[in-house]
Amino acid sequence: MAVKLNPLEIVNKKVNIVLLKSYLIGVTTYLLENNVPPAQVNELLKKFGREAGRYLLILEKSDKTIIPKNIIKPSFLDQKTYIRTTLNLITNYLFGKSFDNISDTLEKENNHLEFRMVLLDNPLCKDLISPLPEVKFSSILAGIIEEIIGDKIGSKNVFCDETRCISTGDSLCEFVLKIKLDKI
Amino acid sequence: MGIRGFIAWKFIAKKTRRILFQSLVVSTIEYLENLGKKPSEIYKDLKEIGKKMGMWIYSEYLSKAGSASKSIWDHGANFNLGFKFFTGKTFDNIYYNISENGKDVKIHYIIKDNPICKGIKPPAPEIKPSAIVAGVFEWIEENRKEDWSATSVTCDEVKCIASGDEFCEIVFHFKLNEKGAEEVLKKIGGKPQESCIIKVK
Repeated sequence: MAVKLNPLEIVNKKVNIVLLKSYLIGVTTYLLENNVPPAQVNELLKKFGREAGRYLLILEKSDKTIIPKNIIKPSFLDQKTYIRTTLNLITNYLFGKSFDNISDTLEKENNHLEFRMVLLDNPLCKDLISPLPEVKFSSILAGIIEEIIGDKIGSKNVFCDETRCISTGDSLCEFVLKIKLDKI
Repeated sequence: MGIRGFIAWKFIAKKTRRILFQSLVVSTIEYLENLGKKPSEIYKDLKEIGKKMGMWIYSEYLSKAGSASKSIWDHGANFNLGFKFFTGKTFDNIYYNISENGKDVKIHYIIKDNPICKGIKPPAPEIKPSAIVAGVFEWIEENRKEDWSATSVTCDEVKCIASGDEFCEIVFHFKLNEKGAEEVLKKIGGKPQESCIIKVK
């Protein structure tokens, strides 16, 4: 029997973000001390994020709206606007803060749409020092974004990673979201 | 605790969604299960994670807060305040259970609507999510046990709503030496007693 979480029992409840940060430190240190390679720790954080994303989607689908629903199949430009809006809604819902900057590029050669999102003062990573540069704490957020955007646009070809992180000495946290397109 | 806890939670604490925190706990339990760990081992591992959290919380926040316990009698109120600051909830009941003429002190923290465990259904009753809270508590007190003349201190979640109990119960267990026991007996009237209960909340 697997462990379960019923998100409907805890709708709109909050905890101190320090509790979440300390948990990230605790679980990361635990994994590294148990000889899990750093890259795998980062992958696990992202996987945990995807699972969190699935719980957020359960909440949304049961009328506890987080993200706009009833999307009319958007035109290409509208879809970009929709994705930008969704990205900001995710961080606003979780941390009360939008991305400081979102840019997008259409890469025709590789057939994908790429978003680059920046958080200057990421509430999740602020004051955290990663034990290793490969471990980026907001991989959790990257996993959430990957899961929710994938669900919203109905595609499994959605990939998100935290590429720069203040907890590893960068001046900002940066996320890259890549969406592989069927056709351009 | 009252107004201090209210202000700390309402105006000082920066918050995030509880679902995010709890889903991380659930994902961790799932990960440990998939490694083939037994429920009792998962409990220990969660507590271990809690201890690492405790170390970080202590070094980053509590050591600078300047309101640490001055005696074992402050633990009831202080850990309640800490729990409030991190979760927005206080314990429903707190009491001390003193036995062995002051050498054995247990502090019981009871909460029905535990924000750490509510909504989680573990695969086995031995897996109690607030093992992480017990780990935080234990790490902090392990590092101060000499201050209370304690020879050992442990903390565990002994009852859990996630496992079907009516409430969650976290228990500190201090074993004190002669000097520590003397201090405890002074507090409860100076007479050696086999067992007594002091209610804090």
